[in-house]
Amino acid sequence: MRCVVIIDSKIIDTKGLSAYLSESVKDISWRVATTISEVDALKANMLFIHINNKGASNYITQMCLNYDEIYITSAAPSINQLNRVEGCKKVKLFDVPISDENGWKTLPWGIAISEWKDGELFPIEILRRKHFTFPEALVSAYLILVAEQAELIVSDDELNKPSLWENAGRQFCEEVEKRKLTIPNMELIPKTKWKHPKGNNVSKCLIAVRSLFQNIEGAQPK
Amino acid sequence: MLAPFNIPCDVNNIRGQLRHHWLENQILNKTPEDVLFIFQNEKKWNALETEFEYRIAQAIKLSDDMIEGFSPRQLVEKITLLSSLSNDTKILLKDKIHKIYFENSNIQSISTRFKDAVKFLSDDIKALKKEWGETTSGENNAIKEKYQAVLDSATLLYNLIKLLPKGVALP
Repeated sequence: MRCVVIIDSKIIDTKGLSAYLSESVKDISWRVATTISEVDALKANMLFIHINNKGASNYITQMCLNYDEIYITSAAPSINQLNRVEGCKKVKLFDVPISDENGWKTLPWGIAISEWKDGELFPIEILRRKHFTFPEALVSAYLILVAEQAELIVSDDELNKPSLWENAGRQFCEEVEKRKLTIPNMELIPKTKWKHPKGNNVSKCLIAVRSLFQNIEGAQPK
Repeated sequence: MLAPFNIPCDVNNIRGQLRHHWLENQILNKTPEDVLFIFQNEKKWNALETEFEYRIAQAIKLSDDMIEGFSPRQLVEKITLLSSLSNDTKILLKDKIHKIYFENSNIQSISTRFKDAVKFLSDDIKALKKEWGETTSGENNAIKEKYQAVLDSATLLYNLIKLLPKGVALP
C-alpha cells in the first residue's frame, strides 16, 4: 500500500518545512518531496508533501491516481476544498492530535509526525529539541544584562561566569555572521573571550543583542 | 513582544492549535453559505458538535495561563548554564526579568481582551448550535446570521491571538 501525508506549510509558523523534514527523516525510510514529479520519483510508501492551498486540488487529483490512501492533516488544504475534488474518496483525515492521550507525539506546532507500521500510524520520536534549540548562552547573557540594567543587585561572582559569557559571545557572532547583519555596537561582543560587561557597556551590549533578536524575529514568518 | 528562536513553551503549542487548527481552518475558512451547505446537505457538523466546546475551554485556559506561560522567567530553570546560580540569585533574576517582561509586553491587556473575545465567541457558538438543533430547512437565514456572528467574534479572537509571541517572550 502506498500512502501519502500532506502537510500544509502555513500551520507550522516557520519556513523551510521541507528542509526540516528532510533533515529529520533522512535516517529513516522517509523522503520529502515538494512537487508531484518528485513524489513520483521517490516511489516511497509514505510521503510528506509540502503543499499550499492553491495547488491542493491538482496535487490531490494526481495523487489519487498513484496512491492507495492519502492522509491530510486537518489543517492542511481545507476539507471543504478537498471534498469537492472528484475522485478523492481515498483522502482521509489525519487529524491533528491535541494531547498525548492517544499516544501521539505532539510537536510544537501541534502536529504529530508519525510512521506507518502494520497498518496503523504510530508516533515516532522526532528530535524536537534538536530542531528547536536556541543559543542558550546568548539568551542567558541577554536576560542577565536586561536584569542588570534594571538594577539587579547580585554579587559579581555570581554572574561573572566566563564559560557563559564566552559562549554567548561566540553564539552572538555566529548568528550575526549567519545572517550577514551589521549590528550596532557589535564590536563590543567578540567571538572569543567576551567578558561580562560593566558600566555603560551593559546598555551598549544590550542594544547589540536586542538588535540581533529583532532581526531574527523580523525574519520569522508571521 | 520579542520572541526570537521560537523557544518552546506549552502555551505556544496551544496558541498554534487554536490559531491554525481551529480559527483558521475550521471557522474563518467557511462563509455563512458554506455552513448553510453543510446544514442542508450533511445535517451534522462534527467539529461544531464535538470539538468547539473543547477549543473554547482551551482558549479560556490560554487566557489564564498566557502571562506566566510566555514569561522568560521559566528559562532560568530550564537553561543548564544558569543552573549553577544560587537559589537567591535565581529568584532575583526571575523576578526582575518577569517584571520587565510584564511591564513592557502588554500581556496583561492582551489576556483580558482575549478572555472577553473567547466569551463572545463561546456565546455565538452556543447560539449557532441552538439554531442548528431547532431550525427547519425553511429558516436558512437564521443559520447564516448565527454563523456570521460566529465569524465576527472569531475574527476578533484571531486578531488577538496574532499578537501573542511564538515562543518564550524576551523583554
